[in-house]
Amino acid sequence: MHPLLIIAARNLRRNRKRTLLTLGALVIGISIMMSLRGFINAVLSAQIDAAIYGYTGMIQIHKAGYSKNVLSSPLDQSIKDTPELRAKILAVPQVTGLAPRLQFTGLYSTAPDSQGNSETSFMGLLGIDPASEDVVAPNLKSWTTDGTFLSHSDRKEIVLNKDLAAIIGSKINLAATEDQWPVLMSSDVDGSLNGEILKPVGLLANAVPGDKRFALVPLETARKLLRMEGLATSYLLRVSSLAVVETTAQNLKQTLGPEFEVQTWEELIPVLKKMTADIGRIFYFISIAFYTVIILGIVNAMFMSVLERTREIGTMMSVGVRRQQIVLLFVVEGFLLAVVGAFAGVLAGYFFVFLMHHFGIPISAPGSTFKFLMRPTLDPSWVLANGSISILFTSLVSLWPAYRASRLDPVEALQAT
Amino acid sequence: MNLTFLQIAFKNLTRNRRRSLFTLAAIFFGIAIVIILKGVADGFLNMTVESVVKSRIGAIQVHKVGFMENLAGNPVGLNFEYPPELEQKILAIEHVTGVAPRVNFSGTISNGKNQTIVFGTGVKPSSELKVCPQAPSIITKGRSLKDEDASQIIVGNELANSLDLDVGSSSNVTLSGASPEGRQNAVDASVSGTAAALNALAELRFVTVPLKLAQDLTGLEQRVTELALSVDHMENIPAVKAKLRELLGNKYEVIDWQEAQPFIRDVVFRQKVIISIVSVVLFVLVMFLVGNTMLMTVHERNKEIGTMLAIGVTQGQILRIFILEAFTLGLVGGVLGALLGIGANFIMSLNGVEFTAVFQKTLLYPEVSSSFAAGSVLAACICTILAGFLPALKASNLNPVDALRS
Amino acid sequence: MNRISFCLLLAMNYTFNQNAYADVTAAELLEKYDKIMGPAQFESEMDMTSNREDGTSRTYSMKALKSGDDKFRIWFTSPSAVSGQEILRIGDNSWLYLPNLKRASRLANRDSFQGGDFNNSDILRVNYTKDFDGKIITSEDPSSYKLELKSKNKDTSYDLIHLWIAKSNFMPLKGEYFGTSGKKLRSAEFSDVKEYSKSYTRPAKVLMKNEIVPARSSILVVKKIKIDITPAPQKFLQTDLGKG
Repeated sequence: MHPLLIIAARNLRRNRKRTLLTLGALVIGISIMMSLRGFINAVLSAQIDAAIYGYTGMIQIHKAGYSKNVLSSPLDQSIKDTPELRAKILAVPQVTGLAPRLQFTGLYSTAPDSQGNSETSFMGLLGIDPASEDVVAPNLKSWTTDGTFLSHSDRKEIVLNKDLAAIIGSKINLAATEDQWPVLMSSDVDGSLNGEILKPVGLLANAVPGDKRFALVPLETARKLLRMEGLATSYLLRVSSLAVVETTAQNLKQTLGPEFEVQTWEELIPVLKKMTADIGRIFYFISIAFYTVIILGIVNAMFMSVLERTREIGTMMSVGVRRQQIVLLFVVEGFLLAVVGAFAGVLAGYFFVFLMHHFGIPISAPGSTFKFLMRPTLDPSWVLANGSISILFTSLVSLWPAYRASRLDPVEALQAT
Repeated sequence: MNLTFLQIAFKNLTRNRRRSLFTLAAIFFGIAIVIILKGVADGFLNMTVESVVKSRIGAIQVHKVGFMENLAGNPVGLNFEYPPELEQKILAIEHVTGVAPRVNFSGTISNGKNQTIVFGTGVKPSSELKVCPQAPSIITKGRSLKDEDASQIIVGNELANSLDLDVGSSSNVTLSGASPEGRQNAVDASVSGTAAALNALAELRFVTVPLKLAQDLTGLEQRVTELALSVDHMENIPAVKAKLRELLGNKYEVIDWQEAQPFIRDVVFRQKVIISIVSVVLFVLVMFLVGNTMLMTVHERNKEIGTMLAIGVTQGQILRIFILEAFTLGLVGGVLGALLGIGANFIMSLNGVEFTAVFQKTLLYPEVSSSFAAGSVLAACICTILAGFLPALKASNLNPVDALRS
Repeated sequence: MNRISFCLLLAMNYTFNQNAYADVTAAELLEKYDKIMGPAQFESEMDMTSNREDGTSRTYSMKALKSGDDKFRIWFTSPSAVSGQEILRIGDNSWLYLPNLKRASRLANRDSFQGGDFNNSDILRVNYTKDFDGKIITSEDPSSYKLELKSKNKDTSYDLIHLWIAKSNFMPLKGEYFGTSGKKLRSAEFSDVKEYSKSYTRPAKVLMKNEIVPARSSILVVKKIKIDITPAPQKFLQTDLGKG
């Protein structure tokens, strides 16, 4: 085998231009496909990230029946947020973080202006603990466009959706005194109205589809407002990796029993997973199509090579080289070409992806408040699969010209120019 | 003179079938892929927009001024008259294909045991179908509304589930509402179908009811709160908006789907950018590969060029022959590839391809664009010519002896 | 007694009684109702119990002050969750004062008043003489008048009301409240007639039912009420909220 490789390598080196052109096609083709795949991965993971590190978390826990019930007060079906329950959940293997949340609605009323007028808006609210969210859903904080995020679980602060703030006229004025702060009113579990004066500290981008009437408040402040001390409407969990989400969810269901419902991010937003599959499917077809074009060029090159070396092949056959060995020689040449090309292509591809990852590709719509920064990544197993398949196919396809070479008539071949 | 060159070029091509066919095949597949990709990409962008525009919101919306900014109160307070003359005038605007009157209101829904807030839209089904032809696709159970329906309603899936409602006359509910002046009213209704919300994070407590029912409930008589319009092509939206503003005056606000659903607008923009990048990169790749093939092909023929030089063919004539060869390959391969590409797009566009848009499943209809196809063929020809020309130029500059020897 | 005298006596008796009942017109009955249930101004202490469809109930105790048709103020005294809260209504605008914030905020929507518990009390906010045309119709119960009230304008909460008024003391007994579609939306029962002062007698208790979700009901009990007062105008200024 070894001498065969040497001979094949030498043959390839003999026609530098053609070898380089063929390698060039392979390298550019593979590296560009890799870059595109990395780019598309970035797009998909950006959407998934926004979800699992932002609004849904990797796993959500509610009181059983919470999700399906849209009647008046979801506050009725809340979780007793005790240290024992938290410890129980955190003890489940692979669970790396827990963030309690309180989801409710309220009426937001700005402080009266000089004429005594104030703006009011109904809104959906989420009471969060900034410290836990940092671990479980760090994206929430990154969606702040102006001002700062909530600082602590018991501060009297509020972060508003940017578009809503514009309509209401709520500007972030960190120097504002308490009499200029707005009031948030809400009904507690029993239906009595209560209110809190909160300081608008920051604005939130439209990262999530849905109503712009949305705001974030600290968890303890929300609990005080709703007279729901020690309660939460949901737990958001983070697990060590996406791969173990499913099994961890099963473990949690077993540990917690029928009193609670456990949902994975895929169950909460099934469309994301489907989108990933769909786009994967499309890319698969695109890849096949492009490799076809690349391989056509390679086969063409190999045929040219065979043609050019007709005399050489005739000579080989006349000195006793068997047809199978001729075939083998050309296949090895194709294989070598493929291996070098794939290797160089993968390196180049990784390099491009690294550049894109390092600098990030910003994509944001004009007028949008949310800036998307793409950081392309590649799945090593995909790269390996792609590389191997291109090597395999190139080698296989080189059988064709190799076979033609072996079918040459030695006498005619020797007479060729 | 040219005819002879063409014959020579043609003979050259047919002489070496393998070489010509491979180059042809590369161009053929390359162009076909590029065209299919563009068709699918454009179809994808359309689908994303249309999945929202044509199933729920309409391309353009008209409201009383202040409607979109109304955050605290019941939308029903900002209502306006909608006489038949106004409808005629609106339909007469160029590019408008349909207009649907709607009443947006909030109230409560009750099954006799439980009661909860609900956000409702009163619609006229035949107009809705014109403006939102994909509206029926959001119905998960039962059927969508018909013009004859007087007290049948569509209820959101989660709401139906929470109130134990099922499709059919046994499922009766009472809708309560109030007029802007405070007049209470309630009507009984039966559930004819259940529907999906825009997405998992949108308002889940919604109902769609016949226009008259909504008007009766809210004491609106002949008035409405919203008009949704459809246009023949999305590009005409700005023109239609301008004409509408002229017609209606400054007491009304006219917005398009992007202003109504800014989140979708952002998503579509990002998708457009991404798809453009992907398409351009792949297009360049194909052109590169085509050129690559041509380069190899011509390099192979250095000896041939040397021979021609040796027998006295001028450089100009050699170049002319090679350009003609390249052009023929490019044209034939390109046109065949374009035909395949357009054909594939057309066939797919007949029934659509199942796909997942922003948040729901819809059908993708690839765009069939002959102008893009023509442009691709042109680009392929230019590429092939360049790729064939440059090495031929180099070879023909050589000393015939060196060329013969290579 | 001879037969003629007896007949005369009967005839006189009959005529006399007819006059007694034929005197009352629908308009007069309405006026009487307004005087009883909606005096121009009053100061009161009352309890409102709200029964929800999930079986729970809540009782709010409050003091109220009314002046004219459009000025109304409430001080909540119980339960502790709402104690110290005040609501001021002037015309269509309402403000909620929260004692822990020492601030009044505008309420956007009447229905947001204490989480929907109070939306049955629409029926107490009517001024019948001004807004309704009354007609006496046949009553199922011979001891009461049955009035059919048709709304005169679009601003009333209800389009049609049936009201039963006792013939003996002109106290309201029952009410049924209908929407424009003809559907019965609410019903009320007035009971426990009490004399609060020499000149003022009225039902102390009103039971209000939501006819669409019958498990939802509210009970209003008037513990004390004075109508011969002159409410100070500054009591109805935003700035007075929180001052007691």
